[in-house]
Amino acid sequence: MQPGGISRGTPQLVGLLGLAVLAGCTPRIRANSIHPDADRQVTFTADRGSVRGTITQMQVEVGGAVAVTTPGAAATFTGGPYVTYSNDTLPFCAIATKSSGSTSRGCDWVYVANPKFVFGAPAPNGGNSGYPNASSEQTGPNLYRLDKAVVRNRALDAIMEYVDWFNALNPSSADDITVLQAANTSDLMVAAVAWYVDHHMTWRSDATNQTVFANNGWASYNPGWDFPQPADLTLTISGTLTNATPGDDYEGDCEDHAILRAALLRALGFAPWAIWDAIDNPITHEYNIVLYEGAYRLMDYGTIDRWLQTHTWSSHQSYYGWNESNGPRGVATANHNFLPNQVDNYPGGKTDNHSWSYLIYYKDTSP
Amino acid sequence: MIGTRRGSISGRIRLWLPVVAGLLSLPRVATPQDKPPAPRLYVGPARLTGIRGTIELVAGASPSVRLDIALRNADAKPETLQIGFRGGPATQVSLGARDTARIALAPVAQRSGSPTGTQSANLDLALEVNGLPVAGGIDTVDVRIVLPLGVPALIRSSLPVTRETSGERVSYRLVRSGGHLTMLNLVYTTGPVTLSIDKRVQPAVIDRPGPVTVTLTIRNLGNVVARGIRLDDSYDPRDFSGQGADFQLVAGKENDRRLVWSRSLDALASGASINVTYVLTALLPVESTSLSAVTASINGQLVGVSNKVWLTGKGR
Repeated sequence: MQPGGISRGTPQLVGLLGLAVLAGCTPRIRANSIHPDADRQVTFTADRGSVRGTITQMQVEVGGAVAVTTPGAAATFTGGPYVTYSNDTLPFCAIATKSSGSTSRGCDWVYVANPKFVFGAPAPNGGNSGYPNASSEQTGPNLYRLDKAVVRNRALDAIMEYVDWFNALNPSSADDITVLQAANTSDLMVAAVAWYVDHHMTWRSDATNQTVFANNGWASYNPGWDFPQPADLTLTISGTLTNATPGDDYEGDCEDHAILRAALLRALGFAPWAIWDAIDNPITHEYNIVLYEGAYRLMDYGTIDRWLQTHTWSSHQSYYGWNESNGPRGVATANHNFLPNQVDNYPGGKTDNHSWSYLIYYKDTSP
Repeated sequence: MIGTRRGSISGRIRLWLPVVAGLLSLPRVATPQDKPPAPRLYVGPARLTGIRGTIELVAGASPSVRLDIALRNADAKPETLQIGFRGGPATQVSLGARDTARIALAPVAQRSGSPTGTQSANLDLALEVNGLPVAGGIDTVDVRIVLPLGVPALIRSSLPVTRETSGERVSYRLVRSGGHLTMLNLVYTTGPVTLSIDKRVQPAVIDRPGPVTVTLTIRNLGNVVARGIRLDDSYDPRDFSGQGADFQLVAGKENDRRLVWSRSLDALASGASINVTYVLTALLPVESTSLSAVTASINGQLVGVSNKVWLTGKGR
């Protein structure tokens, strides 16, 4: 991948068109992001590229409309957010006008990801009141339980508490964020959910979790492999004081944290394709893979920033994956295929020319 | 479709899209005026200007709550709205242009746990207007939380509260300025022992591998000697290691591991305090995450919970 730009697509497109006449005389245009979110602005920078001679005017065209016209051989335009291009391709071009009056175009595209506003979800169908009653029933709908008000309410609590926490940390009110902003910005939604789960949930072993469930009216909960807690029961049962000594509002082990994070994000309208659970290989840990800052990233204990830059844990060798649309949860061979097939940086857009591996989730591999 | 791999048919179609669009001159035009769908939040014109009142915790029963809500219509025309705590009944309020009002509301409150021992009160303090959560912060929140007679302290609160020392009954204050209210979970015991536990780590910023000293300051706020106290703490073994009989590595059912620290204290006199220290080894920088709270229990009953320790990082 070329740092700071995405211009490599231009000659590819020209070649596909077979417009040899343009080869070697097109202006160049870059976007400042390889994979902009639909709630972010994009800066386009055009220069002469391979155009020879005097350029009297440079135009930047975005989405088929000229956005800026600048005298000379260079132009910059910052526009967006490009919400109408959500989950689609946004074309952009540089148009150079030469002193002779002739023009030449150089074009490229970016994919505008918008994982927000997906509030619908399949109904749970597990054999135990919708909850999983076997390993094969450990699906997103059965574990996220978006039909339960408590999941939706705690998701909004995550936004509100995160906004208050963030604003209290920042000395300048100019940097403050609002609940409205956080509830409508993909990256802030992710940051809020990671923060909320870190601040309200603590690790507890599966064996104790199973005992607590059994002692609080859920002896019938028998989900199969690894005792995953449905998100609504994590929010209502796991912190109970009856025959338990919880030190936090919610308790559970790694998969319970991951399921709760995914459920809260889905309850905020985050799209199923943008939030996954991953299990590493060899199996030691479960966590999330989530669309964040323009690519798929790791989300685990702590805030989202903790896992962006460096590869620090051996337990993040993502191999098995599942989400609301793909599953069920487990470590069948098919669950590995979901990750390389559908969680490739960058979703829907250009890749970074790396073969898929768990390393692509780090910024030092996929900026 | 998302996550298309290089070389797929749809990927190639996508590659061609801008070209085709450019040739046909029929692309959609994106403008800076593009807006996301309407939010599912209440944004006005009414504004919550204050919440004041009292939450009185009761031994073995749901808390008694009375809260006064102040609101103001910022609009130049009259406004009628439904206001209530989430999950509870709503009250209709009519506000004239730029008018203010004050109404009394009670949130949905639930109690659980042992009536004669450790118990919790859950109160949903999130406010809704016209059935929608309120996006704006509340100008001023000042709610007094009063404990049952004889209960010396809260064991834990899910939202930050400050202790007040005046009066016959111990109380706390929940104070906010411009913030939001959410679910409040208060844990307390009417049993004879309540322990306060303060957890600190040194260094406070763990930006490199090395030793980390954990200090627990434990104080018996009860009126009897606390006997047979069990302390439990835990860490991620990918972040920390620990040496000695107090440490144990435990595993989940199929995955995940945890470094568990436990220690027993024979006795702690009423009013007495003790410092307990132990040393961990940080295996790498540990930042932007919370360390678990320490729990104290006697005969399986929770009697104390420390603070969680936030290890600072980039700030979000």
